[in-house]
Amino acid sequence: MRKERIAIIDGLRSPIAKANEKFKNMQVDTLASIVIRELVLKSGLSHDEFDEVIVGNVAQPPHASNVAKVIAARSGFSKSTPAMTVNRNCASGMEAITSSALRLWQDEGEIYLACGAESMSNIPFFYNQGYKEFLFGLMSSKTLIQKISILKEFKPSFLKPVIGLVSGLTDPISGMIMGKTAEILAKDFHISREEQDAFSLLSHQKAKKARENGIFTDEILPIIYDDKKGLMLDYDDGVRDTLTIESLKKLKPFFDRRSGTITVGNSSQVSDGASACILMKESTAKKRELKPIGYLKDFSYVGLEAQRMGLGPIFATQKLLKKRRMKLSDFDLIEINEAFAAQVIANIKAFASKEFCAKHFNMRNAMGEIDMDKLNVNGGAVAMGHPVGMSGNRLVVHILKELKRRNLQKGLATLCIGGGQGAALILEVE
Amino acid sequence: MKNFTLNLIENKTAELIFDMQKEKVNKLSTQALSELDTFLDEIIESDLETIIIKSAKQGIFIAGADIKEIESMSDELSVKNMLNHGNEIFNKLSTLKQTTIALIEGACMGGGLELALSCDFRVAIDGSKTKLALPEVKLGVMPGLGGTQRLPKLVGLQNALGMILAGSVIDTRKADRIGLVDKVIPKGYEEFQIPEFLQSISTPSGKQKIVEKRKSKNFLEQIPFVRDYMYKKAHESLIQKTKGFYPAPLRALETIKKTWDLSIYDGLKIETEEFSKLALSEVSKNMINLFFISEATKSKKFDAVAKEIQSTAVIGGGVMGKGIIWLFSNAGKSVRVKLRKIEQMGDIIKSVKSIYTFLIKRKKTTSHDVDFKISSITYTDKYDGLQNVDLALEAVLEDEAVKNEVYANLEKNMKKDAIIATNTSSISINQLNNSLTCKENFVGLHFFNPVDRMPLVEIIPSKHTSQETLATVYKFMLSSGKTPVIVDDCAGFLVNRILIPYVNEALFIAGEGVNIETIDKALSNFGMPMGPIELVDTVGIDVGYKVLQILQNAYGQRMTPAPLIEPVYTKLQLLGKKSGSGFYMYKGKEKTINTQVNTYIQNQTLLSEDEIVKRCIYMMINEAARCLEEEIVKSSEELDLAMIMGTGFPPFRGGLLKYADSIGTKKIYEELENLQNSYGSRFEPAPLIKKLAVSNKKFY
Repeated sequence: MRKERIAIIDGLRSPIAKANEKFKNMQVDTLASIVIRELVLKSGLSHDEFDEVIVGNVAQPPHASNVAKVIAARSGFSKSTPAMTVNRNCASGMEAITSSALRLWQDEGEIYLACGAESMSNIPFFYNQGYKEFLFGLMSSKTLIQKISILKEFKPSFLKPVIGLVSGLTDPISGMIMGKTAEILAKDFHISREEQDAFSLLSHQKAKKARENGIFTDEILPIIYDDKKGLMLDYDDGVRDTLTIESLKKLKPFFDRRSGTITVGNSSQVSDGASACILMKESTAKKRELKPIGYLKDFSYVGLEAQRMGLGPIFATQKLLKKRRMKLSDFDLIEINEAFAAQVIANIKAFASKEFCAKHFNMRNAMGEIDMDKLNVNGGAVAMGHPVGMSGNRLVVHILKELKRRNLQKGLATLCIGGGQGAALILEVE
Repeated sequence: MKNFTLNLIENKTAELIFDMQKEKVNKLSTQALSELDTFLDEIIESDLETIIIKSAKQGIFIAGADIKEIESMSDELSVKNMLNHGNEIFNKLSTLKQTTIALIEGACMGGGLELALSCDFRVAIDGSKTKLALPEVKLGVMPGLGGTQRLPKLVGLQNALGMILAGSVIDTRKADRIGLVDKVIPKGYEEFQIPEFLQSISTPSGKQKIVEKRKSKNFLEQIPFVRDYMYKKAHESLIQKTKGFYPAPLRALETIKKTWDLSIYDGLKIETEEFSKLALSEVSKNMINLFFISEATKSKKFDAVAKEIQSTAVIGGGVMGKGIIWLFSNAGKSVRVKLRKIEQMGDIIKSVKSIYTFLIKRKKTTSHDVDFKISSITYTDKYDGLQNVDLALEAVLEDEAVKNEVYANLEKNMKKDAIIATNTSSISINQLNNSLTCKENFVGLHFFNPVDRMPLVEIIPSKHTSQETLATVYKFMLSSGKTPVIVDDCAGFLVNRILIPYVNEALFIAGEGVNIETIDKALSNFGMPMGPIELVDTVGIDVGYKVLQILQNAYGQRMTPAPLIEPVYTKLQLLGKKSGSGFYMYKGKEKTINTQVNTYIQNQTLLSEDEIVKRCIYMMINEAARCLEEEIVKSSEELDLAMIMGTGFPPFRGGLLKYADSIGTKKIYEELENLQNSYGSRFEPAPLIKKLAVSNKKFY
């Protein structure tokens, strides 16, 4: 049986702010709830009509486990609306959408709110194991003498924190920080530093132009991030208007200091942001006389080796295209999340490589050349930033609004997932 | 026997349950006290050992004495008789050989707390409704059934002064901390913990332990000069707060001071003496009267059922808009803010947050609650997201065309039965109403600046406004903590129409050459929160000038602006406090007379304080009489409440018309005629005043 399309009624997002800067004092629940409340209001639906709120979030803040329920409450949903947090690492914001879709296809409910949100500024530091044991020992000791003998054990190294952000971006299977996996791809596909820097510069330039042309105004909700001073942000502040190839060239490799090519300039930025959309079946939308911004046709997730997780997009796309009997050239626009410039370039090369496609997919021909005029047309995470839980959701909302703007039909949104996965979604307008 | 029942609950322990018939709350009326007395006699004769006094009312232990009885007293002897009767009974209760426990759940106020103080022990059931206070000073009296005697002995001087002089309400946590209650039992644990408590006081040593616990209070208070210092400080702070207008807290302080070393019986005599004087005073009668008026507004009836307001919108983010956004969010409603430019929102949130920050500092709310309330505020520069809004308030420029455009957009984007309200202060509601399709859902809601501090809101229905709309906004305003008064559509509505002539008269006087500080001081001494000239500076000279013009257009000659304001506004271009200079120069908290203004002032003349007050206040009384006659407001009571809540007219005077009554309508009529002869026709007495004067009647 053919699955009915899932209508995406509308989508909205916050600007993406560089981590530890403008949004640093906003917890993820505050940020996400502002976006969701506005989205629900704009839709004209009442909060009570929603069957569930599903939020993709990776860091899962310590003050609110299952942060989705907190977000729902803060967004104006009543206590009777259930809410669930999902985590598929960098695809969490997409997972919220696809989890909703699965529920809709199962007729579990009629209307879902899918959000992706991350406050990378607020990923905590942790005590290391030694200090943790020291503190527990101190707390459970009963006599003064016991306490003193434990206190004597103190070592300065106890004070070195485990930085949650770093361990979160380190793959526990391969033990590699994400940047290292990009280094591997750069070598595998012979991608030069120059090529990566040029790609990154282009990403910034596209994002800058899009902002100037007002492309983002109907997807970004300006956020007041400091209520004491009344400060507001209404653009992605990671985009550097004055960036030059020379300044990119000057940056030192970050992950492999001696011989690497991956720099902070050609990687995605660590950022804060939230994105959300409203989902229901196409038939429900018709019945309610709503005008969706577009539809989710189908999706695929796939697993692959953690060290080359950056190739997630091609693996997931191949699986999806095979399932739907489609080809790469069917798409009018493509979004590949820019975790690293090298990683996107690796995928582009892999799509065009007969050898790669033969080896991995047993195909006679390459999947095809990606038309660069269709890819990440308004820039990507290298310029704007990559709040891990948010990005997947943003890609979906953005590609639909862009298809509509260009009067085009079909879009592919795909991303790589830390730990070794890929996700790909087919999105359509009308 | 109707109001009390005595139930034996187990061997030698009984509950004395207070459940006042045909009343929602328990009150210590003379009748109820007599019944209590009879029961006490019965208990004395019985072999009972423990008595628990409790209430059968939800959320109320005892609300206090019967205020109606106090209000009706007209001579000292009957007041004293009433108090003596009560004190005899409370003394009987306190000397009962049985162990007595007040089980306090819900409001325990005034006489109710005094009853609890006469028991051996006090146990409170925890919950938001359980509050304890001696609020008598708020009605211009003081505790009269032993409160000034038993409270200081139980909780110490410092704590007692805090409760008695300010009438402040305390919760169970604080009551526990200061020793006012001996035990707090969480709601839900009564059946286990009450028996446990009874067990713990079943032996003399158990009792002693609890009594000892109370005694650890401030030992420094036992030193006479420490107490003297505390009395002195309390006195200073009272004078500063009340400017000496409110005698009750001062008399209460004096009573505590005089009776500290006396036996309870001698102390009660003095307390009775002081109470009787206060209860018969004008101030107390006025404040009790206001209490009843304000209670009456809370139960106003309408011919339609009020709808629930859940979701609101505010159009415009000026000074009033900001205050209203705060108000609606604070009332727990979602607020959709529509602005011309989204960038304005940062500044709005900043203002709203600063009001909340102030409240957090005063411990009126918590930052957790504020977080949630602020997150209920959304913003847009289009008319979107309004589909589910129940009430939209327009607070844009005072320009009819602009407002009409707003209404058209709102009607297009909101549901059919949504209410549209306007905060206009100068355009007729009936006129604005013309452009709307759903006229029955349109109403005027006139707030006063600053919205978070001024309790009044004028509700102005048009000819078409439905009863349902009226009932709905009235209830919404009440639940937001406002004092709503319904007034008819006219220029200036009620409060501004009465207040502006008063300010204008002060400007006339200033123009004649009377020192402006003298003018302001005269009216501050009368009890106004701020002198009229400083008020013009605070509101803004530009605003004042425009409003005066509007009123002159509407009411003609009697509202002709004082000659002084025009050159100050147009030639000197002074705006008032907001620009740093008006009639005064402002520097930080200091203000000095702005000598620039002198150019437009005649040679210095002198006018007595009495004369200044008379000219300014009689001007108001005269206009108030016209409003009453034209039925702009339904009653003198509502008019007085509006002036107190909207302008800070001194409550101890009972209200503008109550004050007029205290002088006598005849005298006012004559004085107005004299003023008319001296200063011109703006003092022409209103026909109603003439009518009342001739027939020797009062406003009330």
